[in-house]
Amino acid sequence: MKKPELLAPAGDLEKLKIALLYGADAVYLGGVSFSLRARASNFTVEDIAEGVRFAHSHGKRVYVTTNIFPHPDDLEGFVPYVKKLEEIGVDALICASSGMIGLVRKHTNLNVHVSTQQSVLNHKAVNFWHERGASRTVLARELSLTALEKLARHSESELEVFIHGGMCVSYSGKCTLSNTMSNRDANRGGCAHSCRWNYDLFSGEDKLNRSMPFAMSSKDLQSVRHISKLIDLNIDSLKIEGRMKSVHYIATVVRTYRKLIDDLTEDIDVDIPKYLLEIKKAENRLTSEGFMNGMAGVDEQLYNLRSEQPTQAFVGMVLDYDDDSRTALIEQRNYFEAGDTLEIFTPRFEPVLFKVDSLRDEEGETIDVARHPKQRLIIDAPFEMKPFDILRKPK
Amino acid sequence: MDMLVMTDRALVEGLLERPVSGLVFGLNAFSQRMRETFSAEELAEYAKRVHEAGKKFYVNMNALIEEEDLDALEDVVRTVAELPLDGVLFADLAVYEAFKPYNLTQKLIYYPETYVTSPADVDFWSEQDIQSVVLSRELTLASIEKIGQRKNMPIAMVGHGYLNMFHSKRRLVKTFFDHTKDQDSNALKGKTFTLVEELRDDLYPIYQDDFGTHIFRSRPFASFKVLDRLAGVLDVFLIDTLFYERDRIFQIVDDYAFSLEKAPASKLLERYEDHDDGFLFQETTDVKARGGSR
Repeated sequence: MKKPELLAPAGDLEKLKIALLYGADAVYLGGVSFSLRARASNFTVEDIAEGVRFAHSHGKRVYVTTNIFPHPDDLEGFVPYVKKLEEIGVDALICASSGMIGLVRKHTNLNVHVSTQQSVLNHKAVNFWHERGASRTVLARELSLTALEKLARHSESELEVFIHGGMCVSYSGKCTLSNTMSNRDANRGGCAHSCRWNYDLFSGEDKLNRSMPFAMSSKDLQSVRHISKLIDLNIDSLKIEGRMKSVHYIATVVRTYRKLIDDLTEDIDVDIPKYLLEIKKAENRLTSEGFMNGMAGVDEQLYNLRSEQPTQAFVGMVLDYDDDSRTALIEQRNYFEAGDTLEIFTPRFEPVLFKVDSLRDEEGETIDVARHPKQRLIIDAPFEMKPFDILRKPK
Repeated sequence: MDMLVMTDRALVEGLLERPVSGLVFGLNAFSQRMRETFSAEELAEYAKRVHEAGKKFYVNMNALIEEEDLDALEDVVRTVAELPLDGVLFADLAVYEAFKPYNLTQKLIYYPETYVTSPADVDFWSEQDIQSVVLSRELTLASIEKIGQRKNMPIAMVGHGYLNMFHSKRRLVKTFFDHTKDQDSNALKGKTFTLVEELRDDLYPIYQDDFGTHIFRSRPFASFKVLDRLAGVLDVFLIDTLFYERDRIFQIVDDYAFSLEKAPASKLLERYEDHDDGFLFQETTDVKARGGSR
C-alpha cells in the first residue's frame, strides 16, 4: 500500500521545523513576494534556503507558493526569483497563474504544482496541466470522494488533496469580494475574508433574515474518517491548510494525521474517535467533512458565531534537555504555575501527563509562576525531553 | 473592435437590427450567469438566423465542469461542434479538451473571469491554439493597456454589465434558511435577492441556481468614458446583459455603438449615473499590514 505524502504549512522557520519534526513529509511556504497569505510570516530567500537545508537533512521536501494571479507590474523580478529558488534546491513551486506556470517551465527545471486556486474539478484539466509540464495538481476542495475516485482513475499526474484546515466558501481563485469591498486583492495576498462577515439579505424592501445575520462562512475541513479511502485511491499528497496557524496547531494536526496514515498503512487497528479527540486539542474553529460526502449543506456551514477553544493550552516549548540533572530548558508561551499538571506532546511517543514539581528561571532562582512570554525557564523533567517538544496544559 | 452581446430569445431580433458584431448564446447546463440558455438543437436555428443577418454566432460554455459531467460535456460538444460557430467562450479546461478532437480549439475564447491578469497569461494562451482570451475583471485600465500593448493574440474584456464577484458551489441561501427557519428555503430558488454588509450600504445582487451561489458588484459596470482607450488595445468588447430590462439593453448597445464613433456626450453619460467604473481606477493593492480597511 502506497503511503501518501503528508504536506503541512510553514508560516515561518519555527513552524517549518515543527511540521517536519512532528511528521510532515513536506512543507509549503510563501516567500515575501508572489505568494498569497500576505499576512503570514513569509520567508526571505535566505530563510527558504535554511528551510530547504533543514528539510533535506531530514530527507523531506519544501514547496514554495508563487500562487498569486499577478497583474502586469507584479511580475517584475519573478524569473530571477524562481531561478534563485531552483539554485537553493526547493523541490517544487505551487503556481496558480497560467502565465507563471509558463515562465517557470521556460526558465527553470523546477517541478510545478498547479495550485488549488485554479479550482481543478476534473481529470481533463489535470491532464491539460500535466501535458504542459506540471508534475502535480492540487485539486479543488469542492470534490466529493466519489468524484475523486473517478478523477484519480484517469489522471496522469500526481494529485494533492486538502484534508484539513480553512476553506474558501467560494471556488478558490474565483472570488473578488475582498477586492470590491476592501481594495484588497484576494488573488494577490490581500484577502479580507469578506465571506466571513455579517450580512442582511433582502427581497425588495423585506429583510429575510430575522433571527441572526446572514452568514456564508464555512466550517474548517477535517478528514480523519476519510484518510483510509484517500490512501486506497492512491492520492499522492494529503495537504493541511494553515500557514497562519500556531505552532501548537501545526504540531497537533500534523502529528495526528502522521500517526493515522502510519497506522492505516501498517494495518494497525485505528480508533477514529481517539484521533478526533487529539485534533480537538488545537482546534479553533468548528470542523466538518466539507464536500467529502457530497454537496456541503447546513452542517458544513458556520452559523455558530462563537470560536472553538482548543481543549489544551500551549504553555511552553522545550529548548534543551540536560541528562545529568534531568532538567529541561523551556521557553514560556502561555501562563502556568509550579505544581500544574502538564502534558508533554512530542513526535516520539504518546502524550504523557506530568506534574511540574519545580520551576526556576535561567539564573536558577525558584519561581512560582511562568507569566512572561518567551521567558526561559528550567523544569525538572521526569523523562527525557528534546528540543521542539511541546508542553501543554489541559483546560 | 468587435462588440458582442449576451442574448436571450427576446433580445435576438432587436440586437440583430443593431450595429453589434455578434451575439453570445447560453447553452443548457453549460452556461452560467446568462439571461437564458438554449438547447444545442435550438442553437442551430439561431446560428442560421444570426449569420443571415450578417452577424457572428458565439456560444457561452463557461460552466465549471465536475468529473461526473464529463460524459455529458462530450455529448453536447459533439452537437455544438456541428454548429457554424464563430466562437465558444469557456472557463474550464475540460471544455478545451472536449473541442480538441474536432480541431476546433481555434474557435475557443478563454473566459475564466479572474485568471487572465498579466501579459504572461496571454503569452501562455497564445501557445494553446485558441482564438482569444477575456481579461480579468479586476484589472485597472492601466493594467489592461499594459497587457494590450504587448499582446500576441486577440484579447477581449467584459466592458459593460453586472460583474460577478463571487461564485460558490454551496447553496448559501438555502443552507442559511435551512438553519434559521426564517424562510421556506425551497421557495427561494431562482430568485434574486440583495445582500447588505453590516458596515456598508451597498446592495449586492445574489442568487442561487444549479451551479451554486453567485454574488455581484452592487452597481453595474460601464466603460463609456474610456472606450477610446479600450478600443485601442482590445479586439473584442463584451456586453453582459444579466439583470437588465430589455429596452435598457437596446439603449446600452446603441450608446456603445454611438460612442465608438464619437465621444459620448454628457447626456449619454447621465444615463449611466447608476453605474460605476468597475476596477478600471480601483487599485486593489491594500493589505491589512499596510492599513487596508475592512
